[in-house]
Amino acid sequence: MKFLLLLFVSIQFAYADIPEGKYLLNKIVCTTGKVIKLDSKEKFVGYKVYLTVKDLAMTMTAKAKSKGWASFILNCDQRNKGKFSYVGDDQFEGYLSLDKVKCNVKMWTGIVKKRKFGVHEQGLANYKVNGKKLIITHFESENRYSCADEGGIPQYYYTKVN
Amino acid sequence: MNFYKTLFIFLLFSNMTFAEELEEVFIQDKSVESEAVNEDNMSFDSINSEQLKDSQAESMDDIFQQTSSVTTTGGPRSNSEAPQIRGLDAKKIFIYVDGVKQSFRTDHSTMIPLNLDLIKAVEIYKSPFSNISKTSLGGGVQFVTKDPSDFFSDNKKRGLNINLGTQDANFSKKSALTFFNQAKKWDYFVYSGYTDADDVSLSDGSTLPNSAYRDQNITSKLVYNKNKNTKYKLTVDYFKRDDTVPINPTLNPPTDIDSLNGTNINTRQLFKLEYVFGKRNFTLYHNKQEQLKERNGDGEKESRIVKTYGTSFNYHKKLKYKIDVYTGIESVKDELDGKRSNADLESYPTGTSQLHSAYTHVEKEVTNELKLMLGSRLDDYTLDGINSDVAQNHSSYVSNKFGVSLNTSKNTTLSLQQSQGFNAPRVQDIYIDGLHSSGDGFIFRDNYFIPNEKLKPETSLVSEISFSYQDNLFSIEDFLSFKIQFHESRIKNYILTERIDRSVIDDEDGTTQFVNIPKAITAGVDLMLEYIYLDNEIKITYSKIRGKNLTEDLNIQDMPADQYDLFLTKLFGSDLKVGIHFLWAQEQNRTNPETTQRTEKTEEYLIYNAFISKEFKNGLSLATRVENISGKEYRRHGSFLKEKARDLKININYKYYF
Repeated sequence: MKFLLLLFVSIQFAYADIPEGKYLLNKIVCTTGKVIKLDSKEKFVGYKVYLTVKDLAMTMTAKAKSKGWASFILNCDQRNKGKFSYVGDDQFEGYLSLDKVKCNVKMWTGIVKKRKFGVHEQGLANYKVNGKKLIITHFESENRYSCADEGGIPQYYYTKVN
Repeated sequence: MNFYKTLFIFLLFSNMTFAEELEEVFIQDKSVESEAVNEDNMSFDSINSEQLKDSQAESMDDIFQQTSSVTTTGGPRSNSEAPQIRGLDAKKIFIYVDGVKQSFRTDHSTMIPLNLDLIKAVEIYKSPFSNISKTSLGGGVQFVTKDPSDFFSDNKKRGLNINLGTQDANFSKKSALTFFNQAKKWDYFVYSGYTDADDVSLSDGSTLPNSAYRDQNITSKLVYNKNKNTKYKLTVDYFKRDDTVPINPTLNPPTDIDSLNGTNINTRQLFKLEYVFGKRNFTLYHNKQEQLKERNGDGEKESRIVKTYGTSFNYHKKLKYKIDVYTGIESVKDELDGKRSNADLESYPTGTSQLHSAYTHVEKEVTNELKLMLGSRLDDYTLDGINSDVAQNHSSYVSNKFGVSLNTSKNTTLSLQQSQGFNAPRVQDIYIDGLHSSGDGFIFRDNYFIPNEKLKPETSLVSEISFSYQDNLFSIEDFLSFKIQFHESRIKNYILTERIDRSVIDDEDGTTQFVNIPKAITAGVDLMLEYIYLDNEIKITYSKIRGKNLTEDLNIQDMPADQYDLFLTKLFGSDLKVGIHFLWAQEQNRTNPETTQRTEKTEEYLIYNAFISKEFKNGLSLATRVENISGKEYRRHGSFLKEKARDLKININYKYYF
């Protein structure tokens, strides 16, 4: 009995699903160690990215906004949508595809669309949950940002906010 | 066309035409070119010494609040304030101080170091028609400074003038001392002034960081009065400003971003010789302006220098048959040099700009009611980028003008005038190179300036129709004046910046380049109603202007807001003056939010200012002024920061004769 109880608890801990809710993206860290900050005091554009997980679906909303002291006014909204299913240890298979991009300037809409931020084609991804923290690595995805320069893979670091 | 051939033809023509002349009378205070302007012509406006005293100006913007004919953009830091006339910014109009061209412009700063204490008049030319001698797309501004004789009184010609002032919006403290004297035929003064200002309080309750400054001014003028009609003048002037404004002073980046902040020293040195003989005026000058920046953090140094060598000759002749002829030539050479840590500063390219001009303006009173005016000017410019692969840029242009003024009755005048304007591109517009702004390393690539060797000069065709009515309304003790002018300017090859951004996925960086827009247009109306009764004056002005980039079907985004001004002034005797000024600017939403342009819509605002000034018999005068009395939070269109909070100004002036 004790053994069964221990086994049950072990399974629950080892195969914990991603808690449903809203997550704020703090940073992207390449597996090589390089950090891609989404906002810092020097950057004239700040990015705010949320990931909502619910009913085996993910919705990513990203907002890019220029700072008040920038020499231009940029305001972009992007939404990615996708579905996933759990497979194996801390792993899921799924995708996030571009649903909508709109910037105040058409030229920037084109640039952001091209950039395909947060877009990952159907494939496997690892995830790790630790309290309110969540890390997702789409290791099969071709979209690797500047991590690819050093042969790295981007890892999304989130904090649950809701 | 070879400039010297042109000059020869011009002089030949001049001598053939000017067969007879009448007596010439020397007029001390006016520039020769401003004499051509009928002060009733609505294309011309001026701010006199009384208005300047009432303004207690600490910046160019303070001066221009006295009129609706010119505004400023880019403030409230005075380093970045630039004049704007009928929507044309400082790069498209002329700016002179006593016939000396002010050429200093960087990408974000139009620092025009003015000794505000010594300005006695400001001439505002709103179109090429009213301006006979200077080159620009539209109009321009000429600041006129005091001569030694402006300090004299009757037979008192030796003394000291002490001026102290303070303003509470930035706790500025100003002190200035002038020694003036006349010794036989020699008049001279020596002026020394110092201003210390803290960061300015804004109308939203915040304090604008890095807006403090310290100014030092030393000016000396020496005049030899050979006789009633002949003078020789020597002016030596030194200005220095220390401040910590950001790299782009029109914005307010966080103070802890070292790369965007630094310490600055701006200096200006002027040496000018002037010869005035009757209505002839010859000027020779050398003006050097330098801006040194040291960036916070890494201490990287940048310097930007412009040395201007200029000469001009202006002449006014009255001929028989009521013909006035104004003629002149001007040559200006600017040498620009930009350095960053001893290497070339690509955003301020090293190069030279030469502009040679010749003009003739003729006025003829056909009858007592009808006056005809016509004029022509030739401009020839050459731009060279030193250390640049981009070729030399050269062009010539002839501008013409024609006007008719008809007194339709004893009290009414109708004027029709058309004039052409011309504005050469600057060295920076053509040869600029290097990094404009860094990418974010994530979505946007770096953005670089690229030169444009094919950049053409801007030209305009300005049409103006004016109507005026002036008469005593009830008795000889009152006077009513009404003026209205409609104006339109059709512009070709309007110069503006074109920015193209690119993604990190693209193969190339983004670019910024100065380009020509084939067609643009501005149009508007100016209205003035003034009533004077004994010692009371009421004046209402209204100005409205629209601008359109016709080629791209976009608004010209920095057009000033429609504005009403009401000035009320009352004199009590000869020594006490009280005034109040209401300024009501309308909402300005004619911007292009779908483009990369920074200018946003501006809300409507109403502000009011008041002043009192008192002259005492012992040479003391006291003035106090409150600006933005209600503390209204507002931002001027074309500026990105809020304007000053309520500002109490106090000025004490004491003139002592010995």
